[in-house]
Amino acid sequence: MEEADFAVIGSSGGGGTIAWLLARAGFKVFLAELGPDIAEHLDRQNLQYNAATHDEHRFRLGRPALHRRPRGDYNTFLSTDPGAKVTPFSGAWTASVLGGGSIIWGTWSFRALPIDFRLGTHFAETGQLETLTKWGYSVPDWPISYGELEPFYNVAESLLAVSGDREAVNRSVTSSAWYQAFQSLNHFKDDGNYEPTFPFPCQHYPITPVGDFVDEGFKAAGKHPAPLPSGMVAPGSASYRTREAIQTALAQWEEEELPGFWKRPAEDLWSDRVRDPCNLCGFCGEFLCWGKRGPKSSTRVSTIRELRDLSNAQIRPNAKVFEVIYDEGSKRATGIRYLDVSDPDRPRVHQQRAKYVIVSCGAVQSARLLLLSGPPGGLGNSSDQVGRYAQFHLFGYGATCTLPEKMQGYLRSELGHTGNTMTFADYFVKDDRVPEDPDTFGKWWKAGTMVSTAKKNPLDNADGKLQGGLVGRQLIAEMEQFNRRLEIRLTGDDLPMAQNQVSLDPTYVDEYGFPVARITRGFGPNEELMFTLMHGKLKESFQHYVDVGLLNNLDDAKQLTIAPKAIPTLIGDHQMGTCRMGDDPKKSVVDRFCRAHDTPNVFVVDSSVFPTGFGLNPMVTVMANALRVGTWIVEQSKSGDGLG
Amino acid sequence: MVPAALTVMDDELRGILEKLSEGMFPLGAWIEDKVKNDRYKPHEHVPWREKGNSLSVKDTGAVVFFEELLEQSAEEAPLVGRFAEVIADPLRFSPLLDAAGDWRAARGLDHDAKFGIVGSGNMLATADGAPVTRARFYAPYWDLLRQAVADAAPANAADWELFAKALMSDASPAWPGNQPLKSSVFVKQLGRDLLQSLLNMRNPAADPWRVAFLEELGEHRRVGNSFTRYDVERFVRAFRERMGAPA
Repeated sequence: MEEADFAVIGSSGGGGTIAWLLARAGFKVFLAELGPDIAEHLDRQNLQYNAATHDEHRFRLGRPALHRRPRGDYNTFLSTDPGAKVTPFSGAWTASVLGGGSIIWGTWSFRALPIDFRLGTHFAETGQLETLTKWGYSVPDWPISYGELEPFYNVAESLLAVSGDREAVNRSVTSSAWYQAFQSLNHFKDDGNYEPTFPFPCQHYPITPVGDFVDEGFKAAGKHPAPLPSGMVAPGSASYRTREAIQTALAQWEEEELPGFWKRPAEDLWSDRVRDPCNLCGFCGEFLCWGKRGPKSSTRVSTIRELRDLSNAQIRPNAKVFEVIYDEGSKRATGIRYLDVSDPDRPRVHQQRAKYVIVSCGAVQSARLLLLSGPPGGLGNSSDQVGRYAQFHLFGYGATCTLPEKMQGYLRSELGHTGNTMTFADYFVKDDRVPEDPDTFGKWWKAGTMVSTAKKNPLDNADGKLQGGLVGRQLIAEMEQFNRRLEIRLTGDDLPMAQNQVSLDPTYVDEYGFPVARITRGFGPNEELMFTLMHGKLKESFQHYVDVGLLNNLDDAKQLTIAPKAIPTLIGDHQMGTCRMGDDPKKSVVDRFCRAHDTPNVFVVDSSVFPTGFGLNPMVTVMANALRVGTWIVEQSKSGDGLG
Repeated sequence: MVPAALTVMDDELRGILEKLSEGMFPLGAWIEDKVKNDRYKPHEHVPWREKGNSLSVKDTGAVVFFEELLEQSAEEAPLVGRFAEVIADPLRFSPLLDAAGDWRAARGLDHDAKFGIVGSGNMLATADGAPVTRARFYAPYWDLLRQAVADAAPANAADWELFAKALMSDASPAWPGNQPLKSSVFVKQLGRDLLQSLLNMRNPAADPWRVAFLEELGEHRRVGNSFTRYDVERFVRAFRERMGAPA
């Protein structure tokens, strides 16, 4: 392609989605993906089942793992603790394959709540913003509202074939104590619609023994659970027709507000491809779904497959982009430069000219690429904001229950994907501890969603225990117990702090001599408070099983273990912040349409732009925002106003 | 290249590994204990529980699998060689060529760069931190292991269990001293490699031996599983009934 209209870097929920939309609108699109295409079987109906796709070692433990940590690429970690030393580590990578993180994600498909877009206003009204600021946090509102995203959420859920029970999810939100308490706040009723009526495109995923167990525990503790919305064509469903699902979503849009792009005939938006339902094989999160015609949702089985039909789009896997080319004179990007690493030992430099560049590499690598590009301080970084406010959620925080030995073999953790039932009951949690802390007492603090979580990967667990020093009967005993374990996991919101950031490591480089990303991270008082407050909330979810005699002592670590806190180095696909979206160029990297303030023909379209990070999984919001930005680009271009 | 001498085991070494792996994963003794105490047993008939039979790590195919892993080491050699080059000269393959130094200086980066592939846990490495193939990783341990076994002289299954435990905690007096290689590093890597097969990710044995450990653990995950909604409902009912059953 001589000159693309748009060069899109990264093919997951952000890049893979907006690339499709722009190409479908007629733009010339060049999509560059660092990794290979490992899902070609999805296009070949007659290919035999390949057991390698269900190989836990290959997909979780192997080093270097081609799909997850491409050879030679790694990151470094630096704790904010005084005296901490920087270390290379294997965390903070999303998948580097065509489809990106959407290939190996866990399929938990939440849309954010209206209050998530107004946290700054909320905490200002409750008087907590002053405390948070004193603690070192920067908690702004998003420059866009839930209402602006809502129609795009509907379309995103259609692309993802989300299985769920809308009424149950809404009830989980509106029955929560925090929701009731916030009714009296001025901002709350204006934040947006907490009870969307758009039905999930698929019936909810089957409730597994793990989900059933936690569901009962939640109910007994007064929490309102719901089947976890999941990005899968539900088992037992008819074949999924994305075209029809999109039309159902568009029908929810007010006719006069429907953007022109979405008014085109259904067949001009999407092909007549269908997708098959999930067969509950259980190799989902971290694995490549083998299901024919893509039961597990990813851009690879939806938008990228559609993109391949279009002659005005070019998809280039194995393209390691190392520079957004920047013209100092015009202050604009002119294209991208990349290494073709199809043969990684003999990479070749290529250049792709483009009128616009869209960076969608995930919050760590998007920040890294901007800092590698442009003037020495980095592209779009005149206000020293690129890389700041990194948020990763509080992974590793939850409660693990070990059932009695009579339950050996009955938990059936192999069924379906990792999560199953969930609740919004403690999305905010109140500090009612005595003695009272004047800064925090009586206030509701942001926590997140709680989800029942099956212990899916016995090899990973056994290997971890082995590396910790267990061997012999002790190791086998541990492996037996793993079979009887389940978890309630909190997807906790870590609020943004400037000190938590992604930068170029001054010393460590990748295989091709480019600085790797350094992640500097620590927990602040808000997270420490949350760990304390959530302890009891997690514990009470298991009390029912003491009452019925299955468990007898929740303080016995052999029955229940509650993590003291999250693990700061446990950084996965939930990467947010680093290229904050905002109206003020001094305090943000991109504007409300995700254009770099400094370089308006460069867009960042992924979770990097999230000003705050929710207490739930970001994929649906990433895709909804990509659809929003893409739609704006199309409509703006048609209007002749240009994109800046 | 990885010399064949490093990837092919002799009978003595194979015999040692079979016994050591049983010490690390004492399947026979574990099942015997379960039978004696009426603990969990597979729902289907399994041959290793038949009278006169037992289950060992060797039976599951894990040792043969391990030998295959060693043989596959040749495939790792080019990458190891390349990474060794990058470690020695981290900017060697930079597309910026001679400009790489100035580019780094302009960004305030250190003059001297490092390639942290080993530190990030993405490669097997020697004791002094050089990337290495699996065969070359194990090679210096084999003579140490032979010597330790000769000195410790474990005579029965219980001895091998104790021996494995001592190796894991670097506490075996039989493990040769005055050298930098720790027994725990060896045992951890060996265990990691055996587990791939024991938990049936890749396994050359026939059914049901290849899934024997999983069966005894009550793990129903299998490569190629497929279920329906009705299966799930059935499993939930069984789970609930079991919760209400006596211990």
